Amino acid sequence: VLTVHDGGRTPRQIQESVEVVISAMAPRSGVALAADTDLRTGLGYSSLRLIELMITLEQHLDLPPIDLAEAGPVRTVADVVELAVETAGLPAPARQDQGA
Amino acid sequence: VTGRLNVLVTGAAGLVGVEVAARLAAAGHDVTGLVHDNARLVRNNGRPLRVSLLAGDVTMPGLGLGERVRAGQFDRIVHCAAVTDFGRPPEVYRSVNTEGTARVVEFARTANVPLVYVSTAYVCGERDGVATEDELDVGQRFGNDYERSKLLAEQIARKAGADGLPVAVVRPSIVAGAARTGVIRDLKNVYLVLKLVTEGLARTLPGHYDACLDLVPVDYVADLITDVTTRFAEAADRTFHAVGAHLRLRDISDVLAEFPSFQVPRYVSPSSFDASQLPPAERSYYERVTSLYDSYFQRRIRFDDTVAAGFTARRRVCAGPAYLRRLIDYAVRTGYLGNPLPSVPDVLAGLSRRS
Repeated sequence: VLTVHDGGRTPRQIQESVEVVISAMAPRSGVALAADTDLRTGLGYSSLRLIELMITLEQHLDLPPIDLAEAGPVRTVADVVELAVETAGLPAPARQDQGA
Repeated sequence: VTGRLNVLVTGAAGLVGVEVAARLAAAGHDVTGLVHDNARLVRNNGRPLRVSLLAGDVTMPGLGLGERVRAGQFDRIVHCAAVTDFGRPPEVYRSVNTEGTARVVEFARTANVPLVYVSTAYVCGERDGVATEDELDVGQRFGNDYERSKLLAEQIARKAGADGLPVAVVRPSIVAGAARTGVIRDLKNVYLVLKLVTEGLARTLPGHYDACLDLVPVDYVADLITDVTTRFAEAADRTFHAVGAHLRLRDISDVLAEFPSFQVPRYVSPSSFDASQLPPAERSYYERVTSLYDSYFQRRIRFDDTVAAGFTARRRVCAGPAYLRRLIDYAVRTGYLGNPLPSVPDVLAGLSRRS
């Protein structure tokens, strides 16, 4: 049970924080984020930078360790938001709400 | 070349697969590339390659080709498809590398098509000394699930050979940039380790200064596989080490020290290494990335390539430090090395100031 980590946050708050961190870590700066923005082709993330993104998310949002190998495909901003919200033990936000 | 061959290359979008396909096509052979996720073939030099493509999946019966293709229409199958990056779940290696090879063998068998199987020199596992081309299972332990999956796959290919399927095996070591230019399409595996150590993200590693890495130019690997494919009658039932520059970790540190902005790692005895004593940031990198490569910092292994050297006239790269300099120079030119992004602590500090 991971709800101890949510700190009373809502999925929407986590989504906003995740998007700020994705922008701050992005090798390519100045790109407007949308839910379907591709991390690699749109923002320049490499596999190493993706791992660094997870480390930053864990520390910034006080999340338990995120194992990218077990997480399934993480290609877009929405994938990262979903992963962070799930890791926080909260229900995933509806995809159509993201980036709105 | 004695005749025009019809060749199926699996993993044709991969670094080695695309270079083999390009060489075969340039020599006038009919090449069909089997591709999975990626249907765009880009050569190591960044240029596109246009050959016939088939969308398929080596994990499916009949390679997922259904009635579209029969094995009998090919004169050779070159099986390059594999998952080669580290840190994936064990079932991924088992499914793609081991069971995928079983599917390719099954496909080749339906029409007894000669098979060139691309293995890895690191089926040698975790051992010291000299690994020869005729050795396979000597009771070795493995550094990771990738190596284990490739040993099992090579056993499947060899058993098919013993049962009558014409098979030749090529075992590349760590595939790196082109011999003369250092150019490489995919900066991963050994390049990832170089990035971590030169940026000071991995300062202390469990290893031995006299442990050895073998880096082989992608062009030499592709040339040798192409030779084995086109001169199959001479190559059948044999195994070829596609190996190159033998580098001790001490040699690598010496080369890194020539670059003023690079950090140089410190190796400590694996028996006294304790990841929990690393600084928190370095520990995060170690646990997630660097530890996947631990066994490569510890093996004192050399690959004998007597069979390959007797088969091909192509010269393999010999001067390890000079080759490594070319690889690093290229990675610096592309901005992959020597141009670090803001670190995790820096980004966290910035986020903290903003909030």
